[in-house]
Amino acid sequence: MASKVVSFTLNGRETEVMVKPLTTLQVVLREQLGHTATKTGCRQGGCGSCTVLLNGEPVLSCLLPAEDVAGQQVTTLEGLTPIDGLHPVQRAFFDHYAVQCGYCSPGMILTTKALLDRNPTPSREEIVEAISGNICRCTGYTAIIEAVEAAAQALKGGQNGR
Amino acid sequence: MIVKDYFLPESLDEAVTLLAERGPDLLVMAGGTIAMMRMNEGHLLPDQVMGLRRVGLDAITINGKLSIGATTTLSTLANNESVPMLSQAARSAASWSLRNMATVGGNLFARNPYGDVATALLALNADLRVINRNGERVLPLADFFAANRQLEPGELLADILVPPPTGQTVYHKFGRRAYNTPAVVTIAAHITRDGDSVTAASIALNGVAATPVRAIPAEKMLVGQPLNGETITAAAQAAAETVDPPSDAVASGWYRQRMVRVILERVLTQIMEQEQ
Amino acid sequence: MGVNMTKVRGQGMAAINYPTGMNLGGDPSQALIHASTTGNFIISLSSTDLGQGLKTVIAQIGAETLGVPFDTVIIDTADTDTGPHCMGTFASRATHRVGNAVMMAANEAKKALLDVAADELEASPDDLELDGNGSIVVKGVPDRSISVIDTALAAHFKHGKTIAGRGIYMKPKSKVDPLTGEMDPDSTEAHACTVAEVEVDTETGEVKVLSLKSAYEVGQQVNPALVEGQIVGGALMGIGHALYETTNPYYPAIDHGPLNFSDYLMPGPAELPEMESVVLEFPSSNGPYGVKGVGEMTANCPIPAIVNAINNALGVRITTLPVTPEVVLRALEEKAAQA
Ligand SMILES: Cc1cc2nc3c(=O)[nH]c(=O)nc-3n(C[C@H](O)[C@H](O)[C@H](O)COP(=O)(O)OP(=O)(O)OC[C@H]3O[C@@H](n4cnc5c(N)ncnc54)[C@H](O)[C@@H]3O)c2cc1C
Ligand code: FES
Ligand code: FES
Repeated sequence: MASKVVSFTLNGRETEVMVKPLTTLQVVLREQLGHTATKTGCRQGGCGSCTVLLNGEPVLSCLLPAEDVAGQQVTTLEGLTPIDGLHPVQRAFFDHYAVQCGYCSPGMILTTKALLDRNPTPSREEIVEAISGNICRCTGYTAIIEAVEAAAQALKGGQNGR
Repeated sequence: MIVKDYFLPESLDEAVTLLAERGPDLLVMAGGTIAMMRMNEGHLLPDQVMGLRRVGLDAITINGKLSIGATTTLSTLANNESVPMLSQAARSAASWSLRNMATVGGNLFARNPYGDVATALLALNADLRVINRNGERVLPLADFFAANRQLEPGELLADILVPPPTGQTVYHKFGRRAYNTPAVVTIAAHITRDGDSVTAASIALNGVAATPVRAIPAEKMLVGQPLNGETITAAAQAAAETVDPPSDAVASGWYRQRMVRVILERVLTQIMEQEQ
Repeated sequence: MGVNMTKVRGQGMAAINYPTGMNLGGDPSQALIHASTTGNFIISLSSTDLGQGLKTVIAQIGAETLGVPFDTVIIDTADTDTGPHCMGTFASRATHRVGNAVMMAANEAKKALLDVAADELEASPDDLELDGNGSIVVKGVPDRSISVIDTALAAHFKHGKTIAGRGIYMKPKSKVDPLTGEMDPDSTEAHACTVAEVEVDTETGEVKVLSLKSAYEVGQQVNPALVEGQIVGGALMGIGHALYETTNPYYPAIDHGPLNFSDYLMPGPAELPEMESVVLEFPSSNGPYGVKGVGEMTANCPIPAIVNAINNALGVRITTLPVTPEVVLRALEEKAAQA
């Protein structure tokens, strides 16, 4: 059971971890690197709380072996958050009460970021389709959809996120 | 989850060699959305796993036939408009993040009622190119399903070959939610008409058996007939009568059987109303 | 067969009374407050915030009662082993019970604070008031004041005193009158009424909730945005209970149960209806600042309203949950058989 060294870029920084065979990226992020914004909801691919961006695309870290991301770019919510405040998407979620228990929020915010990077002016339907893999048990989604719309406006207005 | 070895071969050659050497104990995994989930749950406890993400089977090419590499993600297929029914089927599966990982090849192994792309591929008469260390063979998708998805030991699925559709296609995944939903039933139909008359009909149903299946009696009833209210109702009725769908958390067999009739009627009506 | 011919609409209504708290063997929540050296107030609880915003409303209630800025109040709900006792976050009781306990604790802490300030300002505590901006002033003499921070520093390092308070709110157990059944199980009741509009496809049995329009009477709102969050979130849970969610789809056979998140069906963001709600405020007599509970009730009223709307659309009488498409088709078949 040979452990292996895996190098990848995490939130812009070169990162190296030693992993046992088939350890998931979720476990590496949370338990080895202390990046606990990435949540562990179901480990079945069904909740979206473990969403991270892999080369800018949303993926589920609970189903992704860490070795598979060697040499690639991983972004978590920690990487989105500027040192001195909030990313415009986070700000919009905050302002619109789109967070209750917060368990879905990291995944929702990263999915939103990926959506707005591709489509800066999504329709309501496009927003709904994009977030349909991120389950929210608390908010009833309305506030989240409004927050995504507001984030799109804010980013258009020049408050650039990374 | 305790796995002794995880291999990530960098080429198809390397992958089939590993598979030949290690034998059936080596679990093959593409996107991992089925395999990793079952391992996380403890339902699957392999000693050795081989991931296919780096073997280079993730391209879609057109050379007479459409050839879809087995590890092409559902997102890649969803964004490729060469066969609209296939991109639509890929888009109907799961969620954005899951489609970014799940593969077309893996979709052929998804348990009922999943297998959205598989259903569309069955309606399009797709073939599978299967490869082992000594060579390759081509296998009709229908035969693969009839054999309960068994490949020979040492074999990997390399590509899926899709002949260009000759007629009209309609894909309808009927689930309880608009997005990210398991299917109650999924129906993919490929109907060729000459003037008024149906010359070829291929109808695939999912959610009604352990694998996607063709609705052969309904297809036979349509060939040589015009599409109208009467023939459509009769074909939909025949399709419903010949299935005995399973019950699961999504729907009962009772309900699924009724929906085969209702949804097939809607699918065929849509084809009738479309311009040829 | 035209697809639209199979769609029928209906409207349904439901109204509920919803209790705040329930009859336990004595139902207490306790709170402790103390000031730090720098004049922040820490409210220690073992009540849990599940995301409904308890920490926010408790900080609001604490700040209001103390007379200090909201952002100088820190809620510590760290540990149910070591914190002051709380029965828990359920029965829509937390804002009511914990809020009352915090008000009592805050009043005691405020008195301790004013005693120290009175020494510092050489005034009587009765002549002092908090301005809500972090200062204690002599009533009518605005230039004779001391900041809360300086008061806290003085208490800690000059007077050797704590600025602290204890609070409890307990609803005693209500005995049932054996003859009449009369009892007093809850503390107060909130009210709601929902009108639902649905569209039912009579061929597939699918139900689409078109709109949910509700009136809520929840006592005094401490935080209207959080009340709105409860109402909207609860409405989607209500749709889930009404149409989707069950762990036993074909009871009593249990081998079809959903085994994972993708098989367990809940409504998603595409299944949201048009939603509108108005909130009426009739303060309760015993809640902190007149609050009532607005938690669980938000998932309840939509359920009978939706089922009534389905019954209205189809002319049937469905009485089981969830109303899956199969339940709709079976009810229609039964109706046809009786006709
Ligand atoms: C939350 C959730 C929702 C889902 N929703 C849907 C949905 O709506 N529609 C749908 O169709 N599916 C759905 N699925 C099922 C699944 O994600 C897809 O079917 C997907 O396409 C499977 O592909 P994969 O590459 O991830 O499979 P993997 O897990 O990688 O593979 C599963 C098995 O297939 C075999 N296999 C895969 N590729 C090869 C190959 N090239 N050669 C030989 N054997 C191979 C192996 O035995 C492997 O163990 C869902 C899954 C989850 C977890
Ligand atoms: S934890 Fe990964 S999808 Fe739920
Ligand atoms: S805020 Fe609780 S799950 Fe979304």
